[in-house]
Amino acid sequence: MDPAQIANLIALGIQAGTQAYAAIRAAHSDVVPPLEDVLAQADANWDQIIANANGQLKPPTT
Amino acid sequence: MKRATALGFLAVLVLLTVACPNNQNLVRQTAIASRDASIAILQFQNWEISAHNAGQVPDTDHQAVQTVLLKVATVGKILDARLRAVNTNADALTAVDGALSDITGIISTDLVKITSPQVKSGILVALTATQAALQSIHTMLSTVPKPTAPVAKTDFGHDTKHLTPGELAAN
Repeated sequence: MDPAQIANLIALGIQAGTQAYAAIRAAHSDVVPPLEDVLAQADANWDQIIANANGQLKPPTT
Repeated sequence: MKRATALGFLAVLVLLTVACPNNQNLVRQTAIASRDASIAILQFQNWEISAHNAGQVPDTDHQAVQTVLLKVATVGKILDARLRAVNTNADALTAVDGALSDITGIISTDLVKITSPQVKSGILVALTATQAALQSIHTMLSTVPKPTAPVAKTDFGHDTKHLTPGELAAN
């Protein structure tokens, strides 16, 4: 495995660990985010995925 | 790279599970599952686009993957819209079941078009995690106890003494 792959692996591990920690902390917190805030975050991500996919599926312009 | 992808999505699977504690509102849990799935799938999409640009994913697979992601994101948007309109557990169950059915259909019919094992395993893990989270919420929504009729209070706050047949005869 080359150094770039190792660095990528470490970065992914740190990112996943940070997200898991945040999720655990949120799950055990008395402060629950409002439903609309959670849905707004989800929608923003779905919109980004749709925009990215449409950009990738668009036929190349000549 | 394959290990890195697997590790990332394995962590997301854990994230999806721990983000759904039993004592919270089930609609909110569904929304959190949708949000976490959107994060996982967006990360996968970014990775796939980079890998394609680096020449590691064939064009045909790239097109197939992006088509699948477009469908999944549309399912996510529909789920979110339905969750905003939920008034009862039955509404929530309908919303979750619709998304679950769509994701299951995508896994069984759309992923066969992807030939690259690395890409296929990455998207399969992300979608399976989403499916598992939705299935878990479906189970919880299905087992929520129905409200029971209030118990009639007939003793007006006093201890009720049940008389034996002998006592009844004596009175």
